[in-house]
Amino acid sequence: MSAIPLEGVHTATEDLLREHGVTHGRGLPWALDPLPLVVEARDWLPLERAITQRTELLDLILTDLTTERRLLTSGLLPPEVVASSPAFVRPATGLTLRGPHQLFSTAADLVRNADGAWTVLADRTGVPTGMGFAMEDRRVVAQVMASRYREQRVRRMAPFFRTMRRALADLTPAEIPRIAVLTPGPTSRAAFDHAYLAAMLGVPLVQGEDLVVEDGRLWSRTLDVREPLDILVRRVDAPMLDPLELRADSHLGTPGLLHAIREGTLTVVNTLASGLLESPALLTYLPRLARHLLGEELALPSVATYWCGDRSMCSHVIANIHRLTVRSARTTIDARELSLADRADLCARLSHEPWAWVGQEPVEPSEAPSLSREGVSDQPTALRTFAVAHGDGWSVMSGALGRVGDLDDGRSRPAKDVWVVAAEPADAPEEAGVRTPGLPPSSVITPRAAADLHRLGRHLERAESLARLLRATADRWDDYHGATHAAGSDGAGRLALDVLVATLRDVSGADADADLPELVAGDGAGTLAQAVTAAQRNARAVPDLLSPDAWPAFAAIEREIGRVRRTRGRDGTLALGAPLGRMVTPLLSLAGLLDEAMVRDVGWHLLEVGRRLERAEHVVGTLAGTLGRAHPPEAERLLVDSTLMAHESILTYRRRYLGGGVTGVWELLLTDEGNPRSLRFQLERITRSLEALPGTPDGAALPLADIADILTEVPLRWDEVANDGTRRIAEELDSIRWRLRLVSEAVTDRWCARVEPSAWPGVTP
Amino acid sequence: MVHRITHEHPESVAPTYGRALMLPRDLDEQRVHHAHLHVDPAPHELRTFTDPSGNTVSWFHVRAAHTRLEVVGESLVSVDRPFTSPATLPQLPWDQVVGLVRGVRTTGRPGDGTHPSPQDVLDITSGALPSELVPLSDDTQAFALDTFAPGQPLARAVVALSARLRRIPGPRSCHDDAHLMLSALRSLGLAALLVSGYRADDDGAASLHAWVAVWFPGVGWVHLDPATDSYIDDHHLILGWGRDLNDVTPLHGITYGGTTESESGDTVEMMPLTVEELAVRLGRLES
Repeated sequence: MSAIPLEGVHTATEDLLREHGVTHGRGLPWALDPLPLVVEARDWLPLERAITQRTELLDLILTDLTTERRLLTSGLLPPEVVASSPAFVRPATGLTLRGPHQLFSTAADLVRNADGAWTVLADRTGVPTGMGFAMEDRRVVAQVMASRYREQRVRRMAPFFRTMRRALADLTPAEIPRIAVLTPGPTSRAAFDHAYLAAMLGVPLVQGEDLVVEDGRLWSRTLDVREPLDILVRRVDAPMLDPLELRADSHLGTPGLLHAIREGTLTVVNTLASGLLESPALLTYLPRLARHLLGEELALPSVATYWCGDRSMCSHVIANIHRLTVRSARTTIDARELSLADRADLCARLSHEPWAWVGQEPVEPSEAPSLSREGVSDQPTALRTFAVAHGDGWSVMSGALGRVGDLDDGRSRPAKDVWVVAAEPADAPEEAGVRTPGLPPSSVITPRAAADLHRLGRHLERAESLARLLRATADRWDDYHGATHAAGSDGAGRLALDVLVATLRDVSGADADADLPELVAGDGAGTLAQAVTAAQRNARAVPDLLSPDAWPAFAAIEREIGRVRRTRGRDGTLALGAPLGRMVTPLLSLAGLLDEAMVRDVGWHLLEVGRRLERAEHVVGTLAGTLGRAHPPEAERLLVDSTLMAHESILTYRRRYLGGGVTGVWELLLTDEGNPRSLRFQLERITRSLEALPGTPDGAALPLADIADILTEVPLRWDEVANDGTRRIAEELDSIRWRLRLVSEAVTDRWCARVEPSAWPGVTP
Repeated sequence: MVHRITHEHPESVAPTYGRALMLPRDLDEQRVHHAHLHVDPAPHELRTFTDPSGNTVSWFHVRAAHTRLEVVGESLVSVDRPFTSPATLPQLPWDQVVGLVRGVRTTGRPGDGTHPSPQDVLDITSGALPSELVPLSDDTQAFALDTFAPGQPLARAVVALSARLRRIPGPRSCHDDAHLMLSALRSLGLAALLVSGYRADDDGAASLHAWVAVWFPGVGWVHLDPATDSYIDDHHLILGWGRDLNDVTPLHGITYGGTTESESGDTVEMMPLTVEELAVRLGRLES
């Protein structure tokens, strides 16, 4: 410990997590204690063996419960423990895995007692979440504690995922099985974990609506060719998997999924019955089941657990409620913290549905040094270990997901990396000659992912366009408010500023009274901050399709927005130019990533259409707002400058049009074929991408052709000014805007429509 | 036996996935000679299988666009149910049965020397626990206890409870009555399941129906119809049983492309056959 300078480590950790986009769902940042829990290999190996034995036992129990179910009549396991479990999925009983195991992977929540012995608080067998978080924690800690990480021989965790990948391939006879990780989606608390797991396994991340059952098997919905799936690694609770045969109100599953399993064409791990093993009452009976099924004592004991379904144990729990923790499958209540009246209520609940409850002796977990903002202190520490079925045996992750805090009480607490350190070189070289089976190159873009990519393109482009227009407007603001005005020019400055602000409100769709800082950092609709948030949300929905370099760029933009939010209104000056400038850079790097780090597949083309449509609408909208009406020459000169600056075209304009004037603006921003900011340029890109997409509807192509016609037909008359001061072009711009919207609607209808199934009950007796 | 369910959508929909329990369960006292599910429009896939609890379930996928879906369960069954009444059943006191159910729930054995199969154990245990549509409450327990005096034979008490429940006024369907009955029995610690099936009137008109099955140690599941306060007879045809209606709805589905508004209707035709007519039909089926 001594040699490590800890100042800054905490901040560095937070920065890295933010840059990696690690969240605990709904944008809540993931908290990580950078001090790892260090376990010596000589202490870890016996634990690893004990975890293996426990997992083997759980596997034997599950195997019995899904096949012969002799345990139910053996007297060793009360049938009520099984039948009352929320994970008891009746239609799924009897659906078994190929191979020697029924349990594919597990997690166990452990603590170390004061005397150094390990105790299991709970087994996580349905959806063993956390492997991805553990790996991410390692990535961050290895970086912020780099010197210490290098000094120690820390066992690596990545081999665990390669083992899992091979184990998955063994589950089906398919030579090269197609595998995917099924997630509830970006709103899940563990969405990051699911995405990271998919990345570590090298398989796609899918949601229920991405899948469809046809011809007796499960397919990925795609925009062109459907692709079959052989294995789903589910991160969705079993009852939610199939709205037809399980919970009808589930939006997380796919109708027919159970049918595909029954047909034998689909393997789902963990199996739907695996959650049965999470029943807290099972902990009571594990020791005798171990003696019966393994002929051994349970090496890794569970916390002392009394099942209320047994009369004498129930009396014990009620008599000792003041010093126990009470748990059901869904809740944990620390009865020690309850008032007398609440304890009485709890006891009444226990005697009403005794089968659902257990009482557990509290455990005092051993403490480990922990670093928080306040400094280093000793904190109770728990860990979640992971194991996966492999061949005839089990493979345990050399490391774990640690947690600061003593109870799994639902409050989110900082995570902790767990280092298994060995005196001797630890990692056995990986089996030679065994190659991780590769996936056939998959270009599967599901309609849901396509819609997210399309919106990502739109939102990123909107953010960039707004940032530029805001910057140009802020410059105008500074000029007008900052300078001692030369006589006569301040009227023009004022007018130009007003026109720009009105244009901003129009193109952004923000509140009619929003001021500039609000347009940048406000929470309302149409602001720059809102566009960035929306883009991030879209990006999070397709984490497996984007470069990880996107997250630091998002973090940088958010930092600047936060700064604007904090400093707004502090003095008379606006000072928005500098932070907006600093936002444009990461926005450009995001645009660069989309161009340089993405394969030109269906998804990219939809993203491109989104970007280009947004840019086209923006340039047309801005021109209509700033120059659609004739203004006095001085104000018009200022508006021409600002408009060109907002579209990155001022230098070319000055070079080409020495005399100034608006005609040059039309040419440069509307009809120029070579300017990447011009409308014609966008039209060409949109057309090119639409041609690359499967089944483009006419509804999109026709308005595009119309717009191209407008651009060639009447440019000479654009400058004419009507009696009311509007230019002729304003009409044309309006008609172009309307046509662009038609294109947008056609594209959204064709490729981004969500498939919403509706459940119906037939007749009832 | 012909059961026809039609399901209409205001606009054209596709695809539809459906799950049907419209073919009777094959049992000693009701032999199923022939059973077939017809789906219109023609399904892209149709599978009929025995689910883990022994019911005959069909799964189908209709791919063609449709506004009207018709599902017809057609079966040829011979029913020969032994007459059951409180007098023909063992005179076991209900509180003693609760003890035996308790034995099954906690040890897998009733404790009377019998050895139910693992599936029976699971059914009895599920039948004693609350389920989604059958919550347990103090009120239903108190109501039931008024009929279930200590030492009362279960066979009589169940009939008496059914009669009392039926006198409670209010618009209720037959499965509402069955669920109430289940809640009362389960709150006492007895094991009871929901049964879905058909019932014919004396004049031959038949309809979809629901009733309860109560576990009698040594006998098995005894079916009681709360609509008539009596044990079922040859007027009844059993489709299948489960914890509550959610486990045994005759037909439900999921449709893409439509709104949630849709309408269902059904007709049931039960055609009694003489032994000779049955033989003719069977012969026709074989050829």
